[in-house]
Amino acid sequence: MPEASVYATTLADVGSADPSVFVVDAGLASSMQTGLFHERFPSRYINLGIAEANAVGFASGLARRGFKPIVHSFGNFLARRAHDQVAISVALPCLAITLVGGSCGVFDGRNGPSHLAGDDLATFTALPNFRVYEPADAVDLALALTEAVGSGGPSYLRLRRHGMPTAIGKRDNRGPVRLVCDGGSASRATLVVIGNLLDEVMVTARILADDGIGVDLYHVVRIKPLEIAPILASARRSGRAIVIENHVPSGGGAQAVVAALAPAGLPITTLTLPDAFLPAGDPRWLAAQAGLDATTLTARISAELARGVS
Amino acid sequence: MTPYSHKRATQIEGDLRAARLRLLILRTHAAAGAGHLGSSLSIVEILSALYSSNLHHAAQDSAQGGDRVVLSKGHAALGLYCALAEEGIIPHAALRTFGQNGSELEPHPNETLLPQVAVSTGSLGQGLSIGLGLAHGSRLAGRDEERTAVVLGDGELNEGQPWEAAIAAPRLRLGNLLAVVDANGLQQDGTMEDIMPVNGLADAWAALGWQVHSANGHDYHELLGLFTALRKEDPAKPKLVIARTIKGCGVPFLENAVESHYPPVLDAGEIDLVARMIISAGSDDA
Repeated sequence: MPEASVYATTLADVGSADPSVFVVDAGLASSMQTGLFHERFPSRYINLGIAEANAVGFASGLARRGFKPIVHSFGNFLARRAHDQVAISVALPCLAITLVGGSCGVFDGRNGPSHLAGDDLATFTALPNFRVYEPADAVDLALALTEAVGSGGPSYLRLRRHGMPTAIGKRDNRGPVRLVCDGGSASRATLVVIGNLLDEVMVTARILADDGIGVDLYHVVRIKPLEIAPILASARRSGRAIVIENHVPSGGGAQAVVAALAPAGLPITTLTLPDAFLPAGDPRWLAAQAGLDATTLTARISAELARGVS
Repeated sequence: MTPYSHKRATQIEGDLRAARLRLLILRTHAAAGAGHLGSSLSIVEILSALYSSNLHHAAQDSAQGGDRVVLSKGHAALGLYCALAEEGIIPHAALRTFGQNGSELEPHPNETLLPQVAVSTGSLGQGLSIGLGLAHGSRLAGRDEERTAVVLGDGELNEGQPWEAAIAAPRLRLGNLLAVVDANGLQQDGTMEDIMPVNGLADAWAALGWQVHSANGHDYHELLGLFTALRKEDPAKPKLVIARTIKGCGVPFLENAVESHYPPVLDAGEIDLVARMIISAGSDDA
């Protein structure tokens, strides 16, 4: 048997810690890596087949009986197909339900626009009562899933499909937002990366540093509610913010950061997925197509800084 | 509009409880000035019998335990509110706010304003899935005696989600789940037959593994007997009761009329006339 993935292990740990956690699958159990939880807690697991609307409604009923359901599918099938159910059966009554969506953005499994969730955050950030998270590694994931399940309300967790790293950067000082690279007093920009592109942007920050360009790099795990204070303080020092995200321009974390920084009147640039349906491809190729791979990001950010603050 | 149907008097099997509820709905509608009257009148006996046969409904708004009634066809909220008032679950005085701006009694049940409705609905097709979760939760908690009842409209069965739930419920062996379809044969735009009929409902759900029953949806005693008896039936099979009903039932000029969906209010004279007819039907019965 292959070694359990980061998500599988984390989910099982959350299930051990809270006996009211109940896992619901909608016919994508093998992709969503719920097998270990199923194995350990068979009475707190169900696979309802390929029927997302019913899975969300079922979770709504279960939550009303005191359980804390975690519903799994690909992000699109929760965000798009089950949106009305999520709004009326989950968000409105503010039930303790966590929705976990896989296959986000460039980290889709080469399946194309039906599966590649590039606009899922817009749907969830728009819903009242919802908390929205995009963890980048196992440390973030454990914190986010624990916080979501313990919040008593609805949450959405956006996951990459394969290969979530165990840890990117230090394991301490984690939270909804963390400072990953400190450019110090010479910092020329505040980079803000939302969720899963963290490892890519860390490479970018290193290349920039090699070129003598110091930047602060903040990583946002919790998109809603957003904790803006440390980012704002950094941006005031550096004089500008550049926000990077694996999501279309509308409705995601980048837009939220821009809105939150707007009163400060600083120049802000966003580097996101295009406002388009992307072709099918592997993550590395897709990131390059979108200009979000480390090399292209470095070039785009360098050009932006060379233009100066207008 | 459909003229007065001679079937009516025999189809409302007299019961004081249902008669009171029907009149309360008419008066609440008249005071509010608007509302989904036809659908509310077609579920009078269904709601009366459901609440009569529920053992633990008082817990509806509080604990995780207890029977639940989910009104999946949320537009019949007027009927639900009046039933809750008749059961003493909400005060009668609350009904006076129905239809007013900012009222807790919204046109569709909103549990964040009125927890006693148990589940927020209004977007059709969502209630049965929630019912599955409630029923499964009772089982997981070891409270097998609890029942979850879901009232659906026949028009609502044009949606896909109830069918997803209908497939899943037998698989989950939810014998503590009761679905009641208010089969009044109409939807907002016309008759089921003209718009989109759901043919073979009984056979289809039986084939999926439901225990299926049919009843006169305006015979309180028949429904009460059936709902009570079904508690003791096969604990592994979800139950479907197809209740044959008349939209607008009790008001001759609204019965089976498409216009009964959201009609103008009845004036005092018309309500008085309906009251006399209901009373005389009751006395005929006796």
